Amino acid sequence: MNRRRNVLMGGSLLAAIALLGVAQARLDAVVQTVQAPMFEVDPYWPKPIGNGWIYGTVIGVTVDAQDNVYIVHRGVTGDEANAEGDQPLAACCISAPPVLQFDVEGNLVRAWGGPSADSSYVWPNSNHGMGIDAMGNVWIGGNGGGDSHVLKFTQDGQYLGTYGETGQGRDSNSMTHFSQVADIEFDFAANEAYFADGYGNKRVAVVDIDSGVIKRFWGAYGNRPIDNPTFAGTRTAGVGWSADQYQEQQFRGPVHCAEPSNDGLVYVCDRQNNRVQVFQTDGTYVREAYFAPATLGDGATWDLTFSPDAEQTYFYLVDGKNSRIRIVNRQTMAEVSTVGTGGRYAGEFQTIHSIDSDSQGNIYVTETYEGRRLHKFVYKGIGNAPRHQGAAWPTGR
Amino acid sequence: MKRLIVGGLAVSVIGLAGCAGGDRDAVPTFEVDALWPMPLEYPYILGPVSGVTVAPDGNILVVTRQDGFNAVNEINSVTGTGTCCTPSQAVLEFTADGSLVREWGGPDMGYPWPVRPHGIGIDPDGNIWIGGGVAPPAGGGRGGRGGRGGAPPAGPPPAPTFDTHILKFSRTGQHLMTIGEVGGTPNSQSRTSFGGAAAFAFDADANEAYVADGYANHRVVVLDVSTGEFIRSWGAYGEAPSDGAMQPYSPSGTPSRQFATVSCVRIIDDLVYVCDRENDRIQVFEKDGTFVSEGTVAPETLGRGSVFDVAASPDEDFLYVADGMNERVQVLDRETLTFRTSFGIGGRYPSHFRELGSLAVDAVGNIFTAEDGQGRRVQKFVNTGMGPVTMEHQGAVYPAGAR
Repeated sequence: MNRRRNVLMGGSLLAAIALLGVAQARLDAVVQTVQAPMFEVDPYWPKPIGNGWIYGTVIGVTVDAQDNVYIVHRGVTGDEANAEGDQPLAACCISAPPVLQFDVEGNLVRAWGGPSADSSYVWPNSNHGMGIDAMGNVWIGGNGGGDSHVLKFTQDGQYLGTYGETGQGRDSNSMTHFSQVADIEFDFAANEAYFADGYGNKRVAVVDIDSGVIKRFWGAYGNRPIDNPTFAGTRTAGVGWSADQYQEQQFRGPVHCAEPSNDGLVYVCDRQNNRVQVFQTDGTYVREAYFAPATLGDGATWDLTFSPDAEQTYFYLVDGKNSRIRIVNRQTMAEVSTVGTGGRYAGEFQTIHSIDSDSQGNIYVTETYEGRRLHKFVYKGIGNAPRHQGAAWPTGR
Repeated sequence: MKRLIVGGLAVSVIGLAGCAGGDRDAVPTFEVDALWPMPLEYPYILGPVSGVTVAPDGNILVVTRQDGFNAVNEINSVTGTGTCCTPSQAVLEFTADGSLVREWGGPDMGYPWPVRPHGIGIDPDGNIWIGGGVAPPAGGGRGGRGGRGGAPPAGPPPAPTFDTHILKFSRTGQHLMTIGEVGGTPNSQSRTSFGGAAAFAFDADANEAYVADGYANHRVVVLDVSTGEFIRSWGAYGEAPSDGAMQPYSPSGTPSRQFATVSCVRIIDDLVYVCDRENDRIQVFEKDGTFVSEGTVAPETLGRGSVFDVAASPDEDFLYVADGMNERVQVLDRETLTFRTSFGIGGRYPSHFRELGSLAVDAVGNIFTAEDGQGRRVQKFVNTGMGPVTMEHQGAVYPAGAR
């Protein structure tokens, strides 16, 4: 086994780190069950999209009131787009339009989006995140250079409006624009949209659904956000993490999700700080929790959605760096189980990125980087679940 | 076409339909099994799968590359930045039901592991042969394109590295022999080294190994299985192989008298089938290298070409072509090399392909495909018997209940 660990890195420190990780994995593998929501991947959902189309990085997902599932992706380039252009090299492949809508059965029902033909709107340089409001309209953010706005479309792709001035840089206190909005969610009762703002800004921004006016915003712990914070905690690969070092008073970002619960709280993903912070809807800080806190680089807290029960007992937290969906008790903020593993097969991930759920409690996750899929995990109720549900293949396999 | 003897009516029907070309009335049909093989234990993942073969006992062996992982966002349990993932070892063996039997192999294990391993074969003694390729930039993981965190390496590209040898192992991974000079220079005239040996076939009666040589050389080489000694070699049309400059392939151009990348070799019905990848063609030879025939596959294909690997159906009536540029398995009539149908499509889902590169067929006609690059899977296609298919290109082949 030592040899295997040395295959890639050779360095003794890194090999030792890897061995520790393996030891932990072996412990985890001891069969241990917990009371938790259980899931089963549907390997044949969605259905093939046809037309020679292919996805790029799938960078947002949302589910409407009829359980239609929408994704936004970035298309493909280079040797994955060999069928594009005037002189295609081969029969495969062509980028699908960026927004795809699937019905409950997984059939592709609509495909639209991309730069405006008549310059009526500015498509993001790098689309990122989506939400669907109570009117069934689709909101799309972006994390490219100059992406300081959010676009709104009907669900069949008619342009409705632009929220925030376009082409602006970072200003975490701006009342007129955003900076690289990562995700959009809604509080329908208050007629407010929550923007995870974002890759550029370091804040949550609350927006009037109808007018797009910014009503309020806040940073970590409810502090006033600043654009270029310094962080007390320096983190090193393989060095243990301690909580007292990391009470970072600003979001490290990207602020990658901002999800209102049905009991008047807002759950915010501070991705590279590996934490979820909870607020009241006015921005008053309530509590926080860290997940896989030693995680470096992209971070561990990417997106979340709530369980389907009225109490929203659990939230499901996407960890793209560690290739797991973490099932977390919302009251205790403790992880009770996980779903998914690394890899390229059904129920396996190469960088999961976004998550949403439908009325039946099924969850949908997308992969960015080289994963580039939309996965469906069918909700199987609460029961004796493995501590780690892994790829969650159908029973009997 | 032994099968057609069974019924006079069937013969006449198929014969008529065959006149139109692309006869699809009776072809092998397949369904992907998305739940094969079983998941590796967290946090292990496969690298690019650069070869697949089926052992006589029905087990499936693959060889994977370990040079393509993105150090920034993929092997986080190796770099200490997270808990997933860690590459598996290079060679994995699965049972027919998809359980992992063993894994072994890789760099720094006391033998000269190829920089870019490619191709895996099982010789008549049950030993494993592994070839190599041409490695582009050292340390240049190709992952992360199109996403953040995967910036390409900066600076001028380093010179490529050539694998000029072949490794032979026992079934369980004990190193038995290194065939050819390690770290040599590709040369299609050499009797002592290879140039990115891409694939293998074996003639048990003659105790000969056939090498698709390869990524840098432009020939078929025949070796003694036991000693690894050079016996004979040939190039396109059975002529002497050449390393001279080649014109880029053009569908309307004069067919090249030279092989481009020789990416496969198979012995079927006592004939030698050779993949000439960028030239979009299969050439067929007698075992002594006498040219017999050739056929093109999707000849409009440019770039890396259409013929990455071939394998025959158990009855040898059909030839399956791994077409990694069009991302589909092309089904040909084996004797005439004419197109019948295709399945598979580009993408990351079951029966979708990303850099389909090789395939193998088991005794009951199931196909196992291997995806290199960012595909990184071995997929199983269950043979569902002979039947008609309606589509020239079937695309994804989900099980009937999931379509």
